[in-house]
Parts: sequence; C-alpha cells; structure tokens
Amino acid sequence: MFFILLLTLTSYSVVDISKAMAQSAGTGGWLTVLAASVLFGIAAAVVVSLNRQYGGRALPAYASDIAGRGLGTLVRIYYICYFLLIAVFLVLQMGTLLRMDFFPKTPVWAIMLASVPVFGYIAYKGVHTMARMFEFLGIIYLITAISVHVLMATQGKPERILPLFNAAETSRYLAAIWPAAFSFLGIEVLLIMPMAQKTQSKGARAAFWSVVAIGFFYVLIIESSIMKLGINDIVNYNDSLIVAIRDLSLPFLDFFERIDILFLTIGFLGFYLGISVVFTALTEFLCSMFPRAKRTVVVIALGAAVFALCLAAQAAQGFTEAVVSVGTYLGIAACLVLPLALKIAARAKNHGA
Amino acid sequence: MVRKLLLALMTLLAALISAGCWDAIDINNKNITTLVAVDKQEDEYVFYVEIPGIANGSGNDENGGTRYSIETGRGATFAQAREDLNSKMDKPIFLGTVRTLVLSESLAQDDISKYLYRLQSIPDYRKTVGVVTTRSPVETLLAVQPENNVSVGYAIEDTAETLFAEGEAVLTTTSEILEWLYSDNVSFIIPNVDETDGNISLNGYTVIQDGHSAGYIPAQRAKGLVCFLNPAAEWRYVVPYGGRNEATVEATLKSKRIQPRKTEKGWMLDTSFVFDAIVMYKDTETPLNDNALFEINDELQKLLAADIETAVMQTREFGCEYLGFDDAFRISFPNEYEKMDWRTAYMRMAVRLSVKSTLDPGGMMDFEQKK
Repeated sequence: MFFILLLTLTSYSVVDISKAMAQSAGTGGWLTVLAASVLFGIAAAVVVSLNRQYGGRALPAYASDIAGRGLGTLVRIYYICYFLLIAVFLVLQMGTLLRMDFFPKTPVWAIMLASVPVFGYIAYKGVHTMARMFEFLGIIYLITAISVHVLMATQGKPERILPLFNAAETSRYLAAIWPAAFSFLGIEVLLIMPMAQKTQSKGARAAFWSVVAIGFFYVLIIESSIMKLGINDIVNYNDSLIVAIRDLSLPFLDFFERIDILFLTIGFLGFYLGISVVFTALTEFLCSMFPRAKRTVVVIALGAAVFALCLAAQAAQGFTEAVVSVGTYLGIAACLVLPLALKIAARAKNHGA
Repeated sequence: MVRKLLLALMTLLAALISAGCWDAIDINNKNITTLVAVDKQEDEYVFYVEIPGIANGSGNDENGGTRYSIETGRGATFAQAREDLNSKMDKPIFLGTVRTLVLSESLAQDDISKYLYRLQSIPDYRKTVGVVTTRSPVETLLAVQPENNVSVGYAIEDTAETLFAEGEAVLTTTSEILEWLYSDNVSFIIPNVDETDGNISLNGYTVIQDGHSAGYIPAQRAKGLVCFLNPAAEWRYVVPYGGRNEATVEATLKSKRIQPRKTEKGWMLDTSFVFDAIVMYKDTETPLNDNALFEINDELQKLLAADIETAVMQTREFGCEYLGFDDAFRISFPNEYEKMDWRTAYMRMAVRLSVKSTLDPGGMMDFEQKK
C-alpha cells in the first residue's frame, strides 16, 4: 500500500512541489506539507476503513450496496470522469516534461503514443500484478530519490531554507495547505485496492502513516531543492526538481559526474508507475460499469480515449492551470468528501438494518 | 500465432523506440564549448567561445595536445551576437560543457543581469558554471597558454577551485548569481581573473550591485572578505614577536557566527570568528616559550581582526553589503527584514567584531624544545 500511495501521489508532484511551496509558503513550506499530510492521512484511513467495512472489497464492487443502484452508478461515473481527467493531465504533463527537458525535437503526441500502450498493459494485468511490481520498483525509486535529495542537500546552502518557522507567517502557512493539497491527491486509488483479510485491521493505520511518510518525503524534496536553487530563483522554473537535479554532480565519481540521467530513468519510472495506477483504477471502474465487456476491449478503448483527450487537451489553452485549480476541488471530493459520505451512509444503513 | 506476432511486433517497436535518438548528433559534429566570454564594446555585445579542436581528431598541436580555437560573434543585441557567432560556425554549439563564464569589465559596468537572465533559459547551460570577471582585454586573457596545456576555460576553473579549496578565494556560480539577482537589495561579488605576466591569475573581486559593478577589491585586500565567504578560509601571516623575531603562522577558520541584535542605539551585528592557528616556520633557533606563543597569538588576532575589519569597511565604502550579514539578519529577524530597505539599513548598523585564535606551537615540529 505504501509504494502504491508513494508512486501515485508523487508521480508528477515531485517535479513542481518545491516551486509551489516556495511561492505559497516561503521557507515554512515544510510545515504546510506536513500539516497537509496529516489531513490527507486521515482521509486515507477513512478510505481504507470503508473498504474494510465491505470485507476488503474495492469500491466499484460495493458502491451499489451502500448507495443503491442509481446512486452507486453515479458515484462510479464521478470517479471515472475524475480519474480520466487526472490520467489525461498526467499523460500530457509527462509528454510535455520529456519534450521540454530531454527530447526537444520529439513531438508530444509521439511520446504519448508510445506511453499509453504501456499504461494500458499494466492496467490490463490488474491490481494484484501492479501491486507486486510496485513493491519491487517502489524500493528502487525510493532509495534513488532519497539518495539524490540527500546529496542535493549536502551541495546546497542551508541558510536558504531558514528561518524554518516564523510565527507571523502562520496564516500564510495555513493558506498554503490548499496548493499543497494537489500533491496529495491520489489517495483515492485506495478505493480500488481490495485488502487481504489478515491486513484489514491494520490497514487504516498503515494508510495514515504511509501518507505522513510521503509528507516527510516531500519535505526532503522541497528543502533540498530550495537549498540548491534558492527560494527566489526556484519560483522561475516550472520543473524545479529537474533544474535542481541538473545542477547536481558527483565530483568524486568521474564516470558518473552528472546524475540527471537518474531522473530520466528512475524518476520517470515513478512517473510511469503513477500514471499506471490511475489507468488501473479507471479500468476497474469501467469493468464494474460494463461487466460483460472483455477487459482487453475496455483497456484498448480507454487507451484510445485517453490519447484522443490528450490531443484535445494539448490544443486547448490553459488546460493545465484549469486542472490544477478545478482538480483540487474534484480531488478533495473524490478522496475525502465522497468516501466520508459513503462511510456515513454505510454506518447509517448498518444501524438501520 | 497472432498473439506471438503481436508480441514480436511490440518488442521490435519497443526496441526501436528505446534506442531512438534518431536526431542525435555525433560529438564530432558539434562544437563542444569550454568557455564563454561576454564583452561589451561601445554599443555592441561580443561573444567569445573557446572550442577544442576534437572533431575528427584533427585538432592536436605539434606537442600532441588539444588545440583550442576562439570564435567570436558580435551584434547590437545578444541575439544578434549569437546569430553572428552561429554564422561563423560549421557545427552547432554545445554549451553543456562550458567550464567558465567570463564577463568583461565593461559588461560588468553596463549590466550583467541581462546576460544571466538569458543564460537561465538556455537548457544546455549548467547553472553550476563558475563565473569570473576580467579587467584584462578578453582577447589577451584568451590568448594565455596555461601551464598544463589545458583550455583557458579549464585553467580558470582549476585556478579558482584550487584557491577555493585552499581557503584563499571565493567562488561564484551562475546559480548563485541568479538567486542574488532575484533577491531584492542583495549585492554580491564575482572573482576577477586577469592575464598577468602571461599567466592566468585570480587577482581580485568585482562587487556587483543591481547588476552593475560597484567596485573592485584587489586580492591583497580581500583576506577578510574570504574569511566571511569561504567556510574553510586559510591565511598565512608573518607575525613579529620578541622585538626582532618573526614566525610564519597559518590561521584556518574554524567557525564564524553572525548574531544580529537590537540595542538602544539601533541594530548591532555581533560577528565572531574563531581560528585554529599553527606556527609553520620561525626565523631563529630560539625555542618558543609561553610568552612568545602568547605574543604571537595576540599579534595574529590583531592581524586577522584588521583584515576582517577592512572587509567590513569596504562594504561601507561601496555602499553595499555582500558579506552574508543579510542572510543572518533575515533568519533572525524575518519580519523586520521584510519591512526594511536592507541596503540603507545596513549602512546604519553597527558591526562588532570578535576574533579569537588558538595557537598550536608547531604541529609536527617541536618548536618549544629546550636546549
């Protein structure tokens, strides 16, 4: 569960969270992120406890049990639309990021065309295969990311992240929870995670602490990036993480002095896996909506739809900004409001029965 | 069968895509750049780039070393200068290998920020590139033959890094300059490199305020400056003692602390330095007794304090602060810092210096031995 959450939440957020926090919370961004992690940790615990209440099944399977057939279908449609929006956003961001920073002559559509079948294949294999893969690849991602950012911190300037706390800016730190929230959207993927019987009792606690741990991971990224680039300069870069990594070097390793290759490999691996989770979630919801359709057909249709929507979104002006602003509301509804409402409805139904 | 064919097709496609740097340009077909210099001559900007002649292995000199060529481009704007440079090149420039960025004195007097902002958006450029100014004509500097038969770009980088590692210089990178340029009211220094007797020498620092040169500090008067800005500053002093003797003492910065505080008379910047010192040489066979050691240490502290005080006085002289007091103040009093015009406020702040050193009589030598 930890690695699925880690890779889903951090897939794109790691790239620009430092800029977002430097802009909105200054040097106190770490506090904002930790506060947000506690809030979203609670949301994650609610989601897991909801799954637990229904015998470890996933939401697509029990939505109608709680809300009735009509409302249950509406809930599933909401999640399909939401995940579709996020999938389009992430695929487009990935294509744009690769083009802007690494492959300036490769068109975004070509990157997306090459990537979508990979996401589709992982989604076709299902949640269990994906979870097993994440356990292995997640460790590689985590170790690499922590090593890179610890190294970045050692090559940065500590005074750039000081003062760590300024009481006069408390309201600014609190207001910055909203922009920080975007980096925690993704915990709703737990809704498609069926839980094993033996782990159900500890699931909610594990989900909470996983999200808090991801908060600490974000803090490491934010602080090391600001130490490297400076709080006034970092706000100029859309992809602050990549700029910071490009400035990093291992002078004691002549053959491996420049380590931005690590982001191109391991960093993008995390990005790919994060998008794969969203694809898998979409596939699960769609399969529950169309139980007679073959999974292969669902996945191919989904891939085609995402690719077409990505092309449309690429042509649309201000799509990214719109998703960041509207997506936060939709995401909070998906990961907090709806699970809480379903939890209350389930409890009321149980009491009624 | 269809499934196997599909799988084979996908594998082939993946292999093609994975190895697909189709538009890659071979290293021999690029002008690898080791130095960029920017000058302003009257109303024109001039770019100089140093390019090793590695293409097709044709660029070796008679001694077998790599030959470096200098290309120039000029124009009324940076864009025109770059176009002019491009028009003289048979291969595209690659800036990812630049070791040093040289800014001429005339550009520093005009405005360095325009070029730095331009550089920020060039994806090839690494932000860790070292930046220096030069008071020598750029052509003269680039005509130097470095002693180890390397490029001028590498030679400047190596000189600056060696001096920095030995605690005798301050380094500045493009990343640091960009951060300072984006900060309000922050001044900074850039090492200055000139051609001296046919060699490259780091012989001072250019003070930059609002993107322009605000003054120059020769290296001989920059010992205190280095103590502020190089955490491993290390200087040697010839210290008189006992009336007619002299000892050469090496002082290494152990710690530096700046503590701003508010007093009845206004803001005070309490600044303390602690050094470890060692007697390197003495000019007499007479052993160093306790009195002599005390005297040497006392005299050393006075010399260090004088150099550090000079550094503070220079900031008053140039009307700008670049010694790191702003960071110390911002961290301790963020709200007050936000409200004040730092540059003006600093000029009114008192700086109280405290310099302490601990003297080791001789390291591996026994300078205290009794006859």
